[in-house]
Amino acid sequence: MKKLIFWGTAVLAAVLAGLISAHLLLRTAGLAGSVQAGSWSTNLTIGSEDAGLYTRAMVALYGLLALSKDETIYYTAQKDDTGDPLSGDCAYRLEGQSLDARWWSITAYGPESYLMETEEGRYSLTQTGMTMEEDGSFTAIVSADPREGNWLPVKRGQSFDMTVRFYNPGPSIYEKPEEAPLPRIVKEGCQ
Amino acid sequence: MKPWMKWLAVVIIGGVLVHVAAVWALPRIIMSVAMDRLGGEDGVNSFLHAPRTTHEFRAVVRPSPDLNYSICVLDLSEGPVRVSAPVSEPYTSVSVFADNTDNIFAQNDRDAGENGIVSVIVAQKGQQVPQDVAVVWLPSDEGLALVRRVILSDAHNEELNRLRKASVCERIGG
Repeated sequence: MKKLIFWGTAVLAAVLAGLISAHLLLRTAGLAGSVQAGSWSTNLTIGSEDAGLYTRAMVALYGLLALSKDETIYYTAQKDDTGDPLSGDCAYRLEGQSLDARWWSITAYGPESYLMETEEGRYSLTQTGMTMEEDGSFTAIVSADPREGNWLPVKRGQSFDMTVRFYNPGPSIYEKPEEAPLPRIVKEGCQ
Repeated sequence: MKPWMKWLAVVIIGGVLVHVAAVWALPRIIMSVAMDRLGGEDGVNSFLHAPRTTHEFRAVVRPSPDLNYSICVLDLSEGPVRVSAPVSEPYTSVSVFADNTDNIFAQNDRDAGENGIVSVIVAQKGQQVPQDVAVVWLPSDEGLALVRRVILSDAHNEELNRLRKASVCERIGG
């Protein structure tokens, strides 16, 4: 009986340690990758057969059915340009220029990686839906309160993140993904 | 070796093994659940055309609200499956995923033939496939085909809903 308790507790502790460590590692790592471009980051092995054990697990948790970089590159931002986590209690100004891709979008997701319920039923800013200046630059507001012009609603009281999708990125993105001209995320204020 | 050292060694070595096994299994489990949710009873080797994505969609994380999705859960246990889809501007992709989440095939509207269709046979090693047709080899007998079409407006989405009815996902000879 003593032996059974001895080995039983060891096995139980091993299983718990293995599961808890996997859970903590995957929950805290998110889809953040090895390439950082301002507040945005990407992992170029997402979706590919070269993806490692952890990347594959994180794709399953945070970006299931993501395309490989040959087709699409995804950048995600969880923080603003000062390094503070994105919050629905704050308003942010996105300052950027048309991105180097055949088509692109910027989508906001809630803390569980699903679209957030907003009264407007609007979840993204897109290349073809945004108002841009003649030189291709744009400004957009991300906030819970309605704004005129380019506005991406988020939910008050919730943290969120944003994903930029580059469908068929241009060569410059592949050559220097860390220099991709992604929008700045400037905090305007918080309530 | 003292008993407590043996106990600790089992916990450490066992913990590492369980950790690696859990991380390895997770994508396969999540993919399996997603295929069940997305495919249901009617979506195996047959396209299901999803309604436009909203916050109510919970079958897969991080869906794009700007894409019109068609999904086919692939079951190759009884033979290869043909996947073909008409494309549309400004962007369409046809992709195939293995059951471990790997994106093993993707073509877009620029790759479509003169007929405006992307077509591929999905098969497993050892299965007979037609000649002169693009073939993607799946490492297991289950996977998923996904068509993404960019939506420009509600009216455009209605056009895409009509267009996507011509998509085909079917077992060859089935």
